[in-house]
Amino acid sequence: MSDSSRAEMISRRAELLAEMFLEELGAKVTNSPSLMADYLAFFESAPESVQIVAIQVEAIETPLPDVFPLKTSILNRAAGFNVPTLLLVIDVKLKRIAFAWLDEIARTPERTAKKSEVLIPLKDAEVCREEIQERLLASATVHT
Amino acid sequence: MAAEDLTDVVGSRGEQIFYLAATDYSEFIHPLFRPYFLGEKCPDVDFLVNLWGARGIFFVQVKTTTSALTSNSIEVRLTRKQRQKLMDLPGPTYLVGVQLSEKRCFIRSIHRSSETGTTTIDLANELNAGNLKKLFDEVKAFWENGSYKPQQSCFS
Repeated sequence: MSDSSRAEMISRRAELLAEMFLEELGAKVTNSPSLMADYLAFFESAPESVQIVAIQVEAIETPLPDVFPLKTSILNRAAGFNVPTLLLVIDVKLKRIAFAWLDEIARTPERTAKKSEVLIPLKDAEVCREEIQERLLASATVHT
Repeated sequence: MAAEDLTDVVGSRGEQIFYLAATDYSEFIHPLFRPYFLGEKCPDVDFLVNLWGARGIFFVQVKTTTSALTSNSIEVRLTRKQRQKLMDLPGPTYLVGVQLSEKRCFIRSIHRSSETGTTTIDLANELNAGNLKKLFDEVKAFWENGSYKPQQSCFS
């Protein structure tokens, strides 16, 4: 198995697992390379109102860790968005998903921007579906 | 949502579920298969699937249902005409039934002509780790038993 084939497969599995997870939460998902996040998820929170969440997906092949080393540049990018940014760390081997809200972490004052990686605390997405839903519904960014 | 759109969404989700099932490697070191979605330009079959690390390919047509499983099967709808088109494909060919809400896939070989279509797939044929390995071995054996390339050609 070539490295590129394996990388392609890992990436595809992560993409599908993220998409299905978000769709189960009620989102419509689009790729968004031009906006620098991996995806944009659109949640219809009420009739004629749509909430937009940027999605960053990181694929791994090991059990989900408690913290994930994320490139500082990705976190800084999330800080510049005007929409909530959800990090999904996906174990593509066991099909488990963990999450963190990058925009919240980006606002943390003690964060040091000089390091190349930031340790992001993760929560299991399967057991935190309600928390994710609540945050989505409480999101400040509402487009009508 | 229009009925046609809903059918598209269900079909597309089923294809995603099949891709994940076929590349599942929770019990292997690496996936056994590499599926390629053939898309709208190839309406008779959904995937060409390569064996990973061995010679051989097979074809898959995915049929997705929102109906509950029966006690021993999944009910799908493959017409006689669709079945014949799958029969015409050169190489092992399978029908995969996907139960949408349970995200489970079941597989059935299409290797005999039939006067009717196919409506059921046995639940014992679920695409789990054991059956993925059996499928890999079956397809590998098929390609090993025949000439992989022509023995001669007018254009040598």
